[in-house]
Amino acid sequence: MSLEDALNSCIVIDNLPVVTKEKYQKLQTLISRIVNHKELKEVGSVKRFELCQDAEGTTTGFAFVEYDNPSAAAKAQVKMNGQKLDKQHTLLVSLFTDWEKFKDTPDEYEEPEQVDFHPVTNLHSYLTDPSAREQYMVRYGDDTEIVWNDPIAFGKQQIANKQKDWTDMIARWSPLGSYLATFHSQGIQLWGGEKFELQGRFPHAGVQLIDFSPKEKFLVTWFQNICVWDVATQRRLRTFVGGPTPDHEWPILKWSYDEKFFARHQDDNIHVYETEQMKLIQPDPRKQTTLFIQSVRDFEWSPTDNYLSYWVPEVGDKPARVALLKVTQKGEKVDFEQATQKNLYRVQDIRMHWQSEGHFLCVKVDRCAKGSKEKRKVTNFELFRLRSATQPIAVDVVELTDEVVAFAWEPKGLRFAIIHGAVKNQVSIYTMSGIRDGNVRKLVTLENKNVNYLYWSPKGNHIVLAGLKGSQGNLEFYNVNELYTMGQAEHFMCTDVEWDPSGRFVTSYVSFFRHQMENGYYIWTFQGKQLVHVTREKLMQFLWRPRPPSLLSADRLKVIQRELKDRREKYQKEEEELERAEAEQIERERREKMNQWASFIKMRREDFRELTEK
Amino acid sequence: MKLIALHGHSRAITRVKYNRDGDLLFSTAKDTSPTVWNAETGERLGTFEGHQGAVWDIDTNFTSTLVATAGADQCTKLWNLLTGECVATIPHKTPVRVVQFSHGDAMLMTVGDTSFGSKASIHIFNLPDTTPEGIKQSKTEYNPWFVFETSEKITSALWGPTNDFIYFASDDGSIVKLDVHTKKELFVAMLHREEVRRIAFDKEYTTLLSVSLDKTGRLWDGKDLKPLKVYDSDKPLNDGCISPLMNQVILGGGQDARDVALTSVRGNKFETRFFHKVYAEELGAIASHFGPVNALAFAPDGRAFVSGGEDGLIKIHKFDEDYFAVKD
Amino acid sequence: DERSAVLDRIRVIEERREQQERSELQRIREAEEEQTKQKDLTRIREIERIRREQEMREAQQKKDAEKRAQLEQTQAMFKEVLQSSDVKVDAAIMSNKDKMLEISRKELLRQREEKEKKLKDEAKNLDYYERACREEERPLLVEQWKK
Repeated sequence: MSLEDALNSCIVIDNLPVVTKEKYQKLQTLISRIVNHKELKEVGSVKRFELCQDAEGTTTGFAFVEYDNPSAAAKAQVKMNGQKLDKQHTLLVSLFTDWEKFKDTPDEYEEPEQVDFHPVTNLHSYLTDPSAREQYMVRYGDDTEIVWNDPIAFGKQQIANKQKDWTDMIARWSPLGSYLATFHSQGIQLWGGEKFELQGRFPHAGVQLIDFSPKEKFLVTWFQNICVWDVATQRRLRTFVGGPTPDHEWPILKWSYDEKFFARHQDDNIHVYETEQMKLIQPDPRKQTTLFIQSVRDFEWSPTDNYLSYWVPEVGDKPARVALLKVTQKGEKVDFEQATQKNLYRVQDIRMHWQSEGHFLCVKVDRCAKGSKEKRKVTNFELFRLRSATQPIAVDVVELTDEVVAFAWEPKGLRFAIIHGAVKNQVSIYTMSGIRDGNVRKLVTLENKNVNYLYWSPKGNHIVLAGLKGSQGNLEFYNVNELYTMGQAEHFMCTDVEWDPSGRFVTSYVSFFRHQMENGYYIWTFQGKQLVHVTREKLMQFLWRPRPPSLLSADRLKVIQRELKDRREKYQKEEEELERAEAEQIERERREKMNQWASFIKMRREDFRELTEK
Repeated sequence: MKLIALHGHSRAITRVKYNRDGDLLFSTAKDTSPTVWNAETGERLGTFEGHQGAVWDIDTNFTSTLVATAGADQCTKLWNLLTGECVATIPHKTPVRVVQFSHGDAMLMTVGDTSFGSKASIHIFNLPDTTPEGIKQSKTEYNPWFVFETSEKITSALWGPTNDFIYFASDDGSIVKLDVHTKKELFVAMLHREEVRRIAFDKEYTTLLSVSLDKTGRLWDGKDLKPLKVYDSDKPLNDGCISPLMNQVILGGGQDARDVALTSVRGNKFETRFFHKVYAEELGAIASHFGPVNALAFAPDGRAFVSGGEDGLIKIHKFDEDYFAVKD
Repeated sequence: DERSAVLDRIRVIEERREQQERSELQRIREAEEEQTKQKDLTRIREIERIRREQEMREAQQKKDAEKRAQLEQTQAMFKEVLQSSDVKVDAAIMSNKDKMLEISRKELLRQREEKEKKLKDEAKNLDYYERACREEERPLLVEQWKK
């Protein structure tokens, strides 16, 4: 066996208890029993087992196991990893070769060296595409493709990168689109740059869930434990116990927009951590801080300010309430201040929806109707204005007595849309009228829509109303500024709809996760015109690559809009040029094929003539 | 396009074929009645009654006097076309999948299915006579002088440009050119990923079209089975045909019947697709069936084609004049 | 003999006269019968005619009502089609179904074309705006990267 094979046949069991010489024998027997458990025996035979000690004979928390071949080691790693030794100790098992790479990662947080990180590759090269194209990632079977979608050249799809078995599970874009995260049994890998070079590895055996902080500085991974990583240095900054539960859906750590804080809902409380030291913020005991709010049910950060909204359910005579908490930081000191609160009665459930610019908060309250014996349900939408002169205040309530199917804010807009009604759905669109003040007013109600999902364009104004998952797969492309339907389409069995970040395209696809048939995707224009239809067996994911916010100022954007006419001609010419080139190309290829064909047929006819002449 | 629907079969169509002159149309189905039709009017001229099960294939000789059928009831039957009378029954050990007269009609090639441990087999019989009367009167025992066996199920087989070669396709996706004299497999093409359902020559025997459940049609050099073209469909394919007139191929198929209920039931989309033979680009599609298209054939003059479906219907499609006006 | 001959003649004459009277009576009776029959027929015909006229009147009324309903329907459709258009309409057009249909056909076609054009313009504007923004952002991105 080569040295390499020998190394590959080794696994490391980490996170074992640290015991003194006296207890060594006992622990060794215990671990040995696990290693030699009959279920593990099947993977291969153990050649060597060693529980490591330091000079004093105290264990170091590691054990090595050597198998007779690498594949046995790999199988054992998967089987053993995550097993519970006792309450405090869960086995962290990795392949020796991986462990070698990662063992220098400190468990405890260390002061980061103050080196400015320079990425070697330009992670934003895709943003400067001369044709202003969008990229998307599509995963089917074992293949992962990164594809350019060309808006002008006949919806041409050009593969930018394609790899087999790039990821073991799923893949995700980071929120600004810099990285593609792939999942592996040993951890997460991040890829970026023009050729998708490896940008980082984050060893977390068995990792199942990840989340990024909003500006991509931090990565959170989960399997059994929650790990927070620094993306640039690939350092593990902190580990938390626990994971998602029905009451605490992933992501468990919720980030403030500026990545200065993150918070976790635990023990009916909100725990806020700062990211400098990765420490829990201990509230000032002298102050009646609100951080010890009891029985919090859920909370959300504003996407643009250090505001937290949370709600507390009704207890006895005390009403339920929704409140806003302002988090301020002065130097080292962090303060919490209750900004506003509203009491609510007969509450069954609450969902909080922030508008993308943090101008508004919509609190969706499911309640029992007043005085109703048969528990008729009504839904109130409590609307808060954060930019009001007497900020922030709850301004308005929209009450719906029929079932609410979906709610969504218009991104960067004043409007929101609601699907309601049980059988023949209605879609109602409301406007807040202004950022600071104004009346909440209904713009339109569309009757008999038979849809159950809402998808606003990331640029606002356009909205796709969709009937998915058990519905017909009907798609309606609606213009909210002018209140008319731009187009309608149908994608039978469609399970998912995705807008591209520019708001020019919409994808609908049938995912293998839900249906094992008709897997494939359509790309539509924002008006519902079909551009592309691709069938892909076992299509699992389709994700447009996000883009960071534009570097152009709001004023500059306005100027561009105003002067768009001047560029029109240039773009039109470009398009025509492209169309002509494309048509010529096709023509050329056809001619070529025809010539080859003709000479092939001629050759075969001559063969035949020779044969008959003989 | 003019459409004539032929009603007569009670079960899924398995094969449609024109005679050499193009005035007669033959069809077989999973019922027991191979049928001959007037190819111009669609009138049913007669049936050949005698099989005990589904019939997989049918062929007629050069002069359209004699008809041969391949039965799932483990026999090949020869018929007098004029009278509809069975003039000979050739027993087989397994269901018969393919039957074809040789060039010159002196021989008959048949293919037996794999079944209960039997291998798939190709047989060649010498016929005692080329007329129905002669065959009826002869008291020949039908013993094949050529037998070739293989473990994969043979789904389609054809005589080559001469009686020296046989081409056959199998359920493992392979296509083989076989030397009749040496029984050697001269060339094997293995590019289909799933069962090949049918192979067909162009009228000059230069190129061979194969269609497969892997959703592709492929065109091969008939001489050495080198791949020439790929026609991508998005449905499993059952049959295909090269136009004798235009640079076109047609492909037909559809999702398996049991899957259909789950997919585009509403669309009723069982299409015959047209591809440009040389550019391999899809030209269009004609939907005329309620179930998968199982069988296709071009009229010898290329001015019509016929399709047979899982729905038991046969449809003759006659092209309009403007169809022929299309230039490449 | 002469007497008997005279008697005979008288008898013959009597008989003839009687016969004549009878046939006269018959003729009158028949004429009367004929007249009655004619009268009946005329009456029947008259009833039939009235019935038919009634029927025709009703059919006409029904047809008129239908036509009116159709016209009203067409008018409603017409008005709806012309809602957002500046086509001039007079009373003559409003009472002419074919004319209205023709105008609305044209109008619908125009509206569809207009919508198509509008959609196309919107699509182009959105795309051009995005491309313009990218074009301006590109040097900034390059600069940012160089830093």
